[in-house]
Amino acid sequence: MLAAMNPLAKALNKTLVASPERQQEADSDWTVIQRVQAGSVADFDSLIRKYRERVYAIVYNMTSNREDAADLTQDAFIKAFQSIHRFQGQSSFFTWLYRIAVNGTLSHLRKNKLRTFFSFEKIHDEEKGSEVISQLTDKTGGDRELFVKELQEKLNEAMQKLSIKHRTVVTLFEIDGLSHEEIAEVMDCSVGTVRSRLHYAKQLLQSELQVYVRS
Amino acid sequence: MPDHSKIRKVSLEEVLRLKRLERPEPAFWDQFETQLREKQLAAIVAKRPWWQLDFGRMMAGVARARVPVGAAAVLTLTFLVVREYRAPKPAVDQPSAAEGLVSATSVVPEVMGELADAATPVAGSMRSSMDVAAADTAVVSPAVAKVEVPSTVPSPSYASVSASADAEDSVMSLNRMVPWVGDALDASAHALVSGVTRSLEPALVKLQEANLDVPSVTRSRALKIATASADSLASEEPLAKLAGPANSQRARLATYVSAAFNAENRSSANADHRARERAISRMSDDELYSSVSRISVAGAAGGGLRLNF
Repeated sequence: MLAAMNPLAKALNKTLVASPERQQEADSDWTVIQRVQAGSVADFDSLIRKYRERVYAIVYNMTSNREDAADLTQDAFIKAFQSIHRFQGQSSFFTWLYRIAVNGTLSHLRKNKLRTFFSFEKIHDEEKGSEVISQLTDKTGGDRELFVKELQEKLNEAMQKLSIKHRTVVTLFEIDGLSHEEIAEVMDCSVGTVRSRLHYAKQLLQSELQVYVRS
Repeated sequence: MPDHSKIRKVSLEEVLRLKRLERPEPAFWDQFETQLREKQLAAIVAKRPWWQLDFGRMMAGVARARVPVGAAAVLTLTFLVVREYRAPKPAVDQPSAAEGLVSATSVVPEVMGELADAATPVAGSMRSSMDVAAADTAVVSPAVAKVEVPSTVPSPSYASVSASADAEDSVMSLNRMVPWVGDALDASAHALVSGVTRSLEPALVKLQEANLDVPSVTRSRALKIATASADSLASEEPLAKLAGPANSQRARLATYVSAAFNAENRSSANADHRARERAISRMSDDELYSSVSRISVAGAAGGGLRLNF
């Protein structure tokens, strides 16, 4: 049924699934994209500035390496720029961009399966993170910083124990906040597969982080 | 080392949210933007490999000229096909080749007449062992000296050798096929004449061994005319040098036949016959040659003249 629908109906169906915020975002992006397709390269810079942190966060949490993450994010934007004339608005731009970034990162991880170096970003715990850390421990000062560093290492280790696809699902759902449907679209799989992968990944993380996480 | 006993456990989702706090410094984005700009410019300037070309756009450009390009392709293809398979013109100015072939073919009934005359006494005395061909084989009359080939000979290019008048027709037919036969005609003519001489030679020797009075001039004349005809065919026929589609195969077969006949001169008559039959059966196109080359004469032991067609 869905396959028989025309592209416009398909796009409408997809955008109806998304939240109103996503819908507004997709509409504004489409206007900018049409200008880029008409030849305005400067408009693409606004898209880069809008999405660079989110794309970087996904790639970074998948690779756990800040240098690789920077390179892969730049590659994703360049690929998007080169292929922008093929984008016809059948999906939202951020989904399309995420798909480019995720596929590039998956390809990179498969190529460098045996070469894994970790280089983490610093946790900025001055905002909401401080609440979580405060819940975890009452310590302050040097002990607190040490505890946060240990937690970060344990968390990234546990993430790296997941398979690439399970890690991607956890990253997109728990860290970037995408819905199951959006993840399914980005990863080109069914929603059931996304839920299944998410459930399995959480079980594994729970067992790995049982010191910090309540069952 | 932090004391884990004092940790108040939180949910997994809350722990995972800590990952959101792993963010680069603001200075990182300045460097990021600079690098991205460089890569973007490099990507614009760099020549893209063929597998990254936008075939959709290229095909869209071609689609506009689809009809004229298609029509031109069809016309070109038609022109090539018609040019390749057009009917060959009859070769009218090949008198030397025709004459050569006429002489080569006309010598056969002449020699056969002399052979038949010489063999008449033997045939009279050993009529019981005379092997006369059946309905689909040739009829040999010593008086008429007429050699006929079966009516099932498929190709006019290998003309029926029945008489000198028929030979003229066969030469005309052969001439029409000259552009197609090419070198194969050359090889076939050589094989024909050499086959005739090689087939006649043991027969004549056996006749002489049987004390038959075969004029020596007959043998030498036959061999001489046959050789001269083959030479004239090979040297004076320019179109015969054209490469035909199957000339290489025929040339190979002719070589094989020559080798087989050279070997047969050194072996017994039965082995010769089998080898010759095998070779001739492979040369299905050269029915004329095979019909003539099957002439054999049984010796005194065989007790007669045998003409197989």
